[in-house]
Amino acid sequence: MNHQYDIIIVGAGPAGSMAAAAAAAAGRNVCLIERKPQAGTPARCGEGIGYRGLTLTLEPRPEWIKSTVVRARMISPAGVKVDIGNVDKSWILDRERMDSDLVKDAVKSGADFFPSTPIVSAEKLSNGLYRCTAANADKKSAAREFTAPILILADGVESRLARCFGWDTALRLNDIETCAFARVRSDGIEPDCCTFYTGSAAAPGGYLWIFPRGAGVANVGLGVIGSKCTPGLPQKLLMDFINRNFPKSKVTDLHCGGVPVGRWVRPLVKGGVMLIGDAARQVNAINGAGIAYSLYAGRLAGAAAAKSFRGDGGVDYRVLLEYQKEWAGNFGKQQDRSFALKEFILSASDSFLNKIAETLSKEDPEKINYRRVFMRTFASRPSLFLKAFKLFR
Amino acid sequence: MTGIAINHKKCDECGACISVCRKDALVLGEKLEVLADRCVSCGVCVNICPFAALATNGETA
Ligand SMILES: Cc1cc2nc3c(=O)[nH]c(=O)nc-3n(C[C@H](O)[C@H](O)[C@H](O)COP(=O)(O)OP(=O)(O)OC[C@H]3O[C@@H](n4cnc5c(N)ncnc54)[C@H](O)[C@@H]3O)c2cc1C
Ligand code: SF4
Ligand code: SF4
Repeated sequence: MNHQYDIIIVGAGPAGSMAAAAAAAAGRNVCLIERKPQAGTPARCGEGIGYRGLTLTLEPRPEWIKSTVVRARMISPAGVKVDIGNVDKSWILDRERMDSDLVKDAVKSGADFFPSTPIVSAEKLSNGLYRCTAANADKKSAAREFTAPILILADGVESRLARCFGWDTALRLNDIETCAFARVRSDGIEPDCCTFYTGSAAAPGGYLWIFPRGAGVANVGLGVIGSKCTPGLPQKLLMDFINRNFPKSKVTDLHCGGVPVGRWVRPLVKGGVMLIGDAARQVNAINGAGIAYSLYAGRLAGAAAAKSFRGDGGVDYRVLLEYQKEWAGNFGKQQDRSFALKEFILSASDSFLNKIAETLSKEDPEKINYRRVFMRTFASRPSLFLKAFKLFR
Repeated sequence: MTGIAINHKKCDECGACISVCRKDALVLGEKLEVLADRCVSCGVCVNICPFAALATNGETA
């Protein structure tokens, strides 16, 4: 069976759903295709987001917010605690709820939603249209096909479909954090504080997070840099940590995932194909945050795609480049800096992290913010300061 | 023996292995599959699987 559309969007995460809603609201005939039966489930996410990051694109809804965070604590490899009493307001979200609501919004705007539909191949046809083919469980019927002049790829970390159009999206082993995470119910959870553990024992080349989710529950997870990972290491480190730090707690929703921490993909647009969200590696390489960027990029790309349709029914692909231009101008440089900083942190040793923590732990928590942590890091290594200065100019 | 083995009971279908395969030899359709004609048994996917659901060279995960 063949479905024809103006715009095909593959992947109903925050990026794909925002793109679908924006393009459908502008009057285009849009389909949103998702592999899983229910978008957003399971949530492969720590669910943390800054106030500014979310409100940039969306009006936050109370039912999405599990808790509000105003403090953070960093724990060095040697166990020195640094309290940061002065963090920007952040939220811990209900991603399952948010992702499924965003799909509903897209459908309300007029998009057709196809759940349980894994796209296994994509290509450009000789008539200039793009075609996506879905795997079908029941091999007797013909595979489902979707065709359109514009294809938006929002297929998350795997970013496999981009390869059908010549992008090399395979991640280097220093550009992926491989993660395990779970929900932990315990009396020991602080309701308004995010805690981070660093160092090669907790999470080699990454960090471990505890994000409070309200009602005595927290998201506890960790990422290991791909180059230091061995089979099953993230799961093992996570379970060891939970057993040590939250004995007798109730552990549910154990899952795994990958976070791309490379540079964002260039170009973001080729002909009528656009990459958005994790598929475009639009993630902050330092902390792995990607929700805010996917929402933003999704809406931008969806709007540009809709705008590219001319009055005569033809499509002007040059309009799609507005998306790339706006992304590069607003977040491109910022993410390039985060990437450079990540490369440095990967090269830093545990003793370096310990030294910074020692210095910071003697300061007044109320006066410590992320910027200060940052300045201390660089002040302790003058040569780096110079490099950083160039980077942040 | 070449190729990799997938333990579907352990696999969480997270897609991390797909993102690092330079040969585009892993596909997640109804479930995770390895395309034997593309896989070069480099073992990269095996090492990064957070749940140890993959194995090389005829070993079982
Ligand atoms: C463990 C972990 C913790 C994280 N914690 C945070 C955090 O605290 N804060 C933060 O901001 N970010 C976090 N992130 C990153 C954040 O989850 C992502 O950046 C965000 O989900 C990206 O959105 P997206 O729409 O691009 O992709 P996704 O949300 O991954 O959505 C992609 C969708 O495409 C579907 N799909 C893929 N391939 C196909 C196909 N071939 N056919 C059909 N459908 C397909 C998938 O099923 C999925 O639903 C975390 C990520 C992980 C893995
Ligand atoms: S990385 Fe492991 S758990 Fe994730 S899809 Fe691949 S085999 Fe499955
Ligand atoms: S062993 Fe190498 S080539 Fe084969 S599927 Fe894994 S990463 Fe791809």
